[in-house]
Amino acid sequence: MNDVEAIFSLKTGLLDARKFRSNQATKRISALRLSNFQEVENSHSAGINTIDLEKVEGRYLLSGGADGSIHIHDVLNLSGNLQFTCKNVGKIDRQSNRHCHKYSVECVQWYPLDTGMFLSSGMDKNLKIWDANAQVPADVVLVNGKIYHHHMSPNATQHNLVAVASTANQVFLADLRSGSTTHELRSHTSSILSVKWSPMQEFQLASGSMDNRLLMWDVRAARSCLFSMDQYNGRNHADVEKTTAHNGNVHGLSFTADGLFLISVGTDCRMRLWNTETGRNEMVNYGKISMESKKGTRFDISSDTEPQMIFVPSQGNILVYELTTGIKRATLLGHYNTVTCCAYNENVQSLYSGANDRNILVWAPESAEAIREEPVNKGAALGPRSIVPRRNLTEDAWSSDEG
Amino acid sequence: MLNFDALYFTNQSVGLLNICRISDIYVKEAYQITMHQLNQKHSEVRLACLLIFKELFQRSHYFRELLVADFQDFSKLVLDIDARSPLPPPPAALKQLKVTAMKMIKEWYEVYGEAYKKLKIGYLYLKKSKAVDFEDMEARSAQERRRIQEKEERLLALKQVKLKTLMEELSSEEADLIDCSTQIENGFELLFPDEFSLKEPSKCAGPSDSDTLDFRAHGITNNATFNLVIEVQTTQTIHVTEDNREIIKCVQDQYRLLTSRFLPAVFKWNIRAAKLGADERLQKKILDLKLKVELAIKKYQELNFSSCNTELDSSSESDLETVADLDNYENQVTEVISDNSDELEYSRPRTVGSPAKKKKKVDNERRLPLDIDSYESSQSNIPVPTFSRNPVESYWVQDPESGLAATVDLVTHPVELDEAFCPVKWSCRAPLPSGKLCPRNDRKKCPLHGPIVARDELGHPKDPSSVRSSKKPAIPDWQEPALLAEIKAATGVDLTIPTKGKRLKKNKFPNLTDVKALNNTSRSRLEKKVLKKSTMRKISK
Repeated sequence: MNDVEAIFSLKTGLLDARKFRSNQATKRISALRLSNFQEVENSHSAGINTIDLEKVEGRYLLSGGADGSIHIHDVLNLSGNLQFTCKNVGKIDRQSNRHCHKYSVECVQWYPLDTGMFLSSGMDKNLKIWDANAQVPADVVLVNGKIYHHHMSPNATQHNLVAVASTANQVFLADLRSGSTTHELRSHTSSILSVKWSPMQEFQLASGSMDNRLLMWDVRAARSCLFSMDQYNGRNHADVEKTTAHNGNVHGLSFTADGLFLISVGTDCRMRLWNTETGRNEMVNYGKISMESKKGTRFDISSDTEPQMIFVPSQGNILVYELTTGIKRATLLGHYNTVTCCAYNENVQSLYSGANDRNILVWAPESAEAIREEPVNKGAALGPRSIVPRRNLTEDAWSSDEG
Repeated sequence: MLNFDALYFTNQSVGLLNICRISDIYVKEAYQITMHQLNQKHSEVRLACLLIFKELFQRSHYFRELLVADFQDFSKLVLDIDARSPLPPPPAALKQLKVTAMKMIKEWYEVYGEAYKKLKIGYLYLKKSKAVDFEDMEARSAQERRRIQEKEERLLALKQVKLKTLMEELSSEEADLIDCSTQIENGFELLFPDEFSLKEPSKCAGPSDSDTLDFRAHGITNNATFNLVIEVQTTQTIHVTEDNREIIKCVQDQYRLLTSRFLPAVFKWNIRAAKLGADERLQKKILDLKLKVELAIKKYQELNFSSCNTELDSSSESDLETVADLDNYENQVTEVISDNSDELEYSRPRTVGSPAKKKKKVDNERRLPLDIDSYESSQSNIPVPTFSRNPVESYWVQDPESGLAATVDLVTHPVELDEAFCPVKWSCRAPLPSGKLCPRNDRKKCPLHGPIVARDELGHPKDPSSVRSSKKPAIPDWQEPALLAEIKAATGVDLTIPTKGKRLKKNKFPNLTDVKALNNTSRSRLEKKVLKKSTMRKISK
């Protein structure tokens, strides 16, 4: 179905508006490539460990670097021009801000409901709660252990807990209302690399650790954990101690937007899909995904497309998989060092990725034809240069004498 | 070194380009092969690959996409950015590779950067994160630059220290030097108060018309020429008297000090200051000192001070004894030398050292220590010591009653030999590669040069038939290098007979520098042996 037909059937009511939207999103996402028009202002002076795009407007991109700095970029293009550089609108680093993290920042997250606040944590064992406008921390929670990851529930109405994964073997729950840790979830036997709250059940929490296990918790429950994910779907499913989710560290977790599935990546170069209700391995084969990161890898899922897509960093590339089938749809090439994180922007179907080469790259659905379009502002192009016919750079140039 | 002649290369690459333009499949194949070759640990190979890349990159869009996708690996292989995998030898090609790659990447970025985003990002990444300076055409890596900078700083610091020591030395010695030269000056002034008037040419007060002398009036023809030589005493002599003896002595002492100590020192300072690049003030100061010293020395020598003797009646009161005349000794020596030279004239017999002495020595050696068995034959009338067997301990003990225990070991007895020892009177004298003759004294056969035969002065055998040609000529006559080269040029077949015991190694890539041969230095070979694991283990035990 081409675009005209789709719009027609949408107008006549033959096509569901949501369906139309997801069709368009899927179409756009399959044309994802390194954006020729958009770029993010290069302000980091060290590798980028983590990025987060706020969900409210999809406008501000938060990024944390290995030198302890945090930067905020405005990614919304209001210039009316295709060519666009995302400006750095906020910068917290050692030179400008004394509250800056002492060591590498490992995780940043916007407050899910507002852009007035964000959280950051890192190797200096501090979880900082920042006032985004004043750029000063409203509160600092000191945790017993270097922090690899933290997560705030995106849909919680009854609690304000932040789950913190650290080198201590417990998951700490920090309460934003009191500004201190209230719970410790004990079952892991090694450092915890990743935690995620379920977007469906507000008290459910998943944690992946260096002991190869992936545990599902209910923070209200008195017993240790709900269940442990078993990669073999064996009979001793209930045996928390013996089951493993990966044959390596579980260093990345993500729920699907509906909360029905959980995806995990491990240092065994595998990605697994889990049913969050039963804890069963869905046995989707994504193939081998080489990842060298010892710390967490942050991947993202596009929720508005059909099928849903997973964007997984794999060394210098980003791989795009279909969620349910495990088919690899694309490899995004552009970074020059290990890609550590990526964030998907639902509003414009673009992807932002951060890597150790200090770059944040924008991946946008730009067709090959769009590249060859003239710039929008013709006035600027009317200089003396426009008289010279520009050579098309993306065409072959075999000279005629070589025949 | 590979020949990267542009024309040669284009001729070669035209074929490749013709194939590649047919389809992208060929482009991909070419890319893969070249990329594979780019991984070779040989900079010349990499450089050649780079030139192929250049040709394809500016022509094929598909090739550009392929290369840009692998740009990170590519840049690691051609630029010195990864400390873990440095660029391979040979060094000359390495440098060329770096420079070429940098130029090329910069050019690509300028032309294609807009169309290939990853290329642009890659260029900026190399520039910012990897500190590749694309303007620096020497293609120095960041570490290299830092190393050079550090070295310069170290040298500068060292220079400063040296300059400081020089200054200190100068300031400490300067006073002494000036003191010394002043003493000499003053001495001169005291000895020659009217020195300047002496130096000035005395004005001739003769009549002015003497220039136009009429020679004819004196009976000399006009065209006659004559030379008048007037000897002028330039050197002034000083007469030593009681009054000036002390002054002269002092001046002489100071002169000695000046020549032995200050003059070398000043020269050394001058050289050091020039080497260290001292500032002009210091150099001028040193030069002034040098001039001062040299002036004093020159004046001293002009005035001929050294000739004047300040000792009181030194000749009569000399403590030295007369040394015996050496003429006699020299005569003896020349006699010996002439004898030896006479002997050398002979072709065969030649003696080394004195034969009589040697014979005596040999005779001495032939007196063997006495043992029990030879007592019978011995002519000496020493009583035979008796040994009794100790019943308790199982070894022989000497009879304590004989009382001759001390002398037994010292007694020797002569051994009769059938013929008298006759020392070898000749040497082998076969010519050696060094140009000398073999000095071995063997009786019949030299272990190196075979039976001893009569030889002339140059060491060639006098009788050519005595030399058996035991060896065949090692190489047949058609193995001449020139002939072989001709055959090879004409037919392409190399007919060189391989050396025995060595397999003829075929150089697969004659145009490439042998990287292994570069590493094969005496040091590396020695290191291999000395730092061998097993050896190290042995030492550590």
